[in-house]
Amino acid sequence: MSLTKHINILDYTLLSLLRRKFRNAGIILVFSLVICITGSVLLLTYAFKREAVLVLGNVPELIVQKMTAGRHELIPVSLGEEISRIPGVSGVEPRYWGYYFDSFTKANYTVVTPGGRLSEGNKLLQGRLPSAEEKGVAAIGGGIARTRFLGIDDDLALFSPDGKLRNFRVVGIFQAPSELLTFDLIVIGKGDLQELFSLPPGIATDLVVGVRNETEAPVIARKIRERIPDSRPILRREIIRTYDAVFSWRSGLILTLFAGALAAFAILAWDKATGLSADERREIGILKALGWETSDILEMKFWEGVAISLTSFFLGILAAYAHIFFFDAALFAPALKGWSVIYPRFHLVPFIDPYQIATLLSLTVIPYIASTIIPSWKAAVTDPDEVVRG
Amino acid sequence: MPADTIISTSGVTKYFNRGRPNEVLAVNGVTFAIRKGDFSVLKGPSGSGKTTLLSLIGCMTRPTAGSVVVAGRDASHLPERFLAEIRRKTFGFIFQQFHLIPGMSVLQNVMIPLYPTDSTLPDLKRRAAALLDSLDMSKRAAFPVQGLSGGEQQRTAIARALINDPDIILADEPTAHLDTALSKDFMEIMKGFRDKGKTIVIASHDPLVFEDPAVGLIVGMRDGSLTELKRRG
Amino acid sequence: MLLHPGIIGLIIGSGLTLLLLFSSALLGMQILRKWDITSSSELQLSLERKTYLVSTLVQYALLFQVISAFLFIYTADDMHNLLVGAMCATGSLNANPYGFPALYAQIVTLFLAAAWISLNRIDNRAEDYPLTRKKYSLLFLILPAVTAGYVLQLTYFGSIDPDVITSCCGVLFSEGGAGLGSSLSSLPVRKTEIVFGLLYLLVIVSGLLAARSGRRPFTLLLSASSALFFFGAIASVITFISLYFYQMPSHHCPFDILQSGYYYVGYPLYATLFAGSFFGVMTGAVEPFRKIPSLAAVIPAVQRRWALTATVAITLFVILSIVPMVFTPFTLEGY
Ligand SMILES: Nc1ncnc2c1ncn2[C@@H]1O[C@H](COP(=O)(O)OP(=O)(O)OP(=O)(O)O)[C@@H](O)[C@H]1O
Ligand SMILES: [Mg+2]
Repeated sequence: MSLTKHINILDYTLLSLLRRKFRNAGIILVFSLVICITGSVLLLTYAFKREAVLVLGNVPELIVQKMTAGRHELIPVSLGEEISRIPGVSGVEPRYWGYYFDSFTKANYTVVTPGGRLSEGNKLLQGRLPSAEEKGVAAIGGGIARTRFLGIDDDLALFSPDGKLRNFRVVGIFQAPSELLTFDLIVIGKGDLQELFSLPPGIATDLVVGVRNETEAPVIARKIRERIPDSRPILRREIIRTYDAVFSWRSGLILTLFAGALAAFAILAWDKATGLSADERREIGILKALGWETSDILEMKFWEGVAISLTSFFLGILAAYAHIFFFDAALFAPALKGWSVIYPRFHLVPFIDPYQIATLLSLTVIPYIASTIIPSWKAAVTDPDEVVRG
Repeated sequence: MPADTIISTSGVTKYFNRGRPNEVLAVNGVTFAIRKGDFSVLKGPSGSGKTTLLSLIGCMTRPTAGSVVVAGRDASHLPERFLAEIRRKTFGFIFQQFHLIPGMSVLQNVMIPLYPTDSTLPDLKRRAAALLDSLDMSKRAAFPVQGLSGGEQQRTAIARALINDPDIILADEPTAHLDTALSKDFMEIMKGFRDKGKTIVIASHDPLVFEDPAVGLIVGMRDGSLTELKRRG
Repeated sequence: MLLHPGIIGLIIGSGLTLLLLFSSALLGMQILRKWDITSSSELQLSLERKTYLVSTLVQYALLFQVISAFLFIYTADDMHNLLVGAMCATGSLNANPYGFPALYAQIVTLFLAAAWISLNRIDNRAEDYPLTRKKYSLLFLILPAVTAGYVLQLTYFGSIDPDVITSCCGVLFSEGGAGLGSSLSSLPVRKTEIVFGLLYLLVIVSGLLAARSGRRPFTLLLSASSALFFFGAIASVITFISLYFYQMPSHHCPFDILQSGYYYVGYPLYATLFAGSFFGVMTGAVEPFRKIPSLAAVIPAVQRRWALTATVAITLFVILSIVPMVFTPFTLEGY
């Protein structure tokens, strides 16, 4: 079995595509745009999912919150003792953290105490972390440093609920592979945090429950609910699942909305291919009269589809990649993230795999190719006899 | 039937649009044979069915009835796939309108019939260049075909018909678009091929063609039927 | 659940495969009813032209089906984050009773479509198209497989319930569990290795003999042995081959080798296995067509080429699967 014939037909196809370069360039342009937009949605979704996994890698296996009237409440530290009596629990630790709304930058900051796992895994760009007992000092995320023009040894001013202004000396600035995590983070001592949020003593934001065997976490969570009915145990897996579902769902929704555009494109492709010009018909008739077989013409049409869709695919996916990872999803970051003014300056970790490629192929190239089958066949069965009479 | 018969038809009939109001009987029960090395002309008035008979012989269309045997192979019932193969291996076609593909160079046009085969492209190019050289066309090889003169277009079409080294050359009204001098040139070229052992079939109502002394077999047609079958010389 | 990008891709991608195969079956029915190779009527001519459409449709469907099959596995794999207890595609596929059957239906579709294309290739080489009836009847066999694949796949995704704890390869393919998967992984490693080696030997011997002589007993033997080898090889991938790639004594997942972490070794591995087994089986499957006069000259040459292809592909598969056994210190001795 020789490949020569197929290479020759491919060669002829490329020649013939080049002859109609303007028309083909138009199709490639529109097609790459479709692929770029679809690809951007996909790349962004998966980048977010990965980001979530990176972020949640630091989240404890099991957290217990207190619920009142269906809302998250502060939890008494004393509940920890009861929980630690459950078999399989290795320890319980209170966590102190909260959100601070900064009316100056219109952004929400996450304020935590050191030692909590949130601040553990992240590298400091400069300086050091404050210790839990220290007062009047803070480490801050890169986003806050940028928006408030803060450097080491500058003062970070925050208002406590009673309206008093408190100053913290910046002793550290975070950097992280994934900026989503530390972007809006402020780390201050435990005493400072209790004062900043006016937390009464003996009360924590939530409790971190250490579990001896990871697979038993769901069982322990159930027992906690049984013993403390107004508690809400949160499993890390559950958070990951929620994130995952939300991101997939959102991008699914966008893609569905976008399906209309895809369909329109498929119709365009169909139209382009069916509206076989007189020139093209003549060319195919000549080829057939000269000894090309119907299946050779079909092969030529196949190569034509491959050449056009692969070119568009590469252009489209390169553009999507640049859009998401170099230009920070400038086109639709607001739609997907939405709620914080700092977020548009984040960088996602570049990531692409065969799954995304297969999905993108199914969403774009397969409909395109499918819509060209019948027109190609119609062209291929052109009667050579018609051409001979001129 | 003599042993050196290369094309024979028997009662070959072709209807267009059979069974519809616009039904046409283009070829009506034609029986004749062409021998290897014959220089033959199908002649007849316009609409007499010359082109249709030529494309039946050339396996471009299947007869409604009767049979066409080419080089010992009955082509009348073959599926299209095999007809294409016969066309490619046995025939060289020169069309009335030349039918060169615009936008491509002379060389590429000449190469077309052999693309769907196992000859490599460099090999194909070499063959095409050699053919163009033999027809004094090598200086035009890289030209796009739309800029050529009528005579040059025809030489390109001839080179294309010969690239597969066919046994039979079929030409439909080859002199219709040429002046007298170029028409004579064309006949000279054809004689050259006949002398090399090729079989030539030309459909034409140009006296310059069918009165040429080199023509050995004249097939006259009218209204789709055979009116004259004359062997000369 | 259905608003997941991968699932939308599948609905469109394999939906189109289904559409193509359905149209080709409809055309096939027309062709079957009116086909008369001896006629030169315009009807016959138009039917003949439709055969080109059918073969084009099936060829594109096969191409799409390959992409969809991978997409299905990937999407299942991606689902594992949503499912308690699932750690990889195995766990996700196991989340409800439709997962694995959907996968099997897709694989069957792949094989049938490929078989159709091979038959078509052979048929097109004989002037009287002797296999026309068989060919177009085979289309009706593909139809239930591809429909089942599509419906099962949608049912599978539609009924995924994130709250049900599923068993993953850890459980499904672990030594202690019940069910087909775990009975595969709990096959004794040594014995499986020996059976794998013996089956390979059988394939090699019958393959080389069939490739040399193209004679009947050898082609039939090659068919049987490559079919056995296919199942043996899948069992071996689960029992021991994958473990060498993962370097873990209890990770029996046949899908994780498709991931970047393992250098995508799963692709060449499954490609060679599928191609090798397919051509091996086909070598003997076309044996009855030798009796057809117009194919008598065609078939033996084709059989010999297929036998050689099968032997080479399966050998590549075996080489790929023993590379990590030879070149890494990891060992399954004692497991
Ligand atoms: N595709 C077709 N459909 C219908 N009628 C056709 C078709 N092709 C040819 N005919 C008819 O068949 C008859 C013979 O046509 P043909 O082209 O063979 O004549 P010709 O001898 O080559 O004429 P000319 O000298 O004008 O080229 C004509 O009446 C023509 O109108
Ligand atoms: Mg004419």
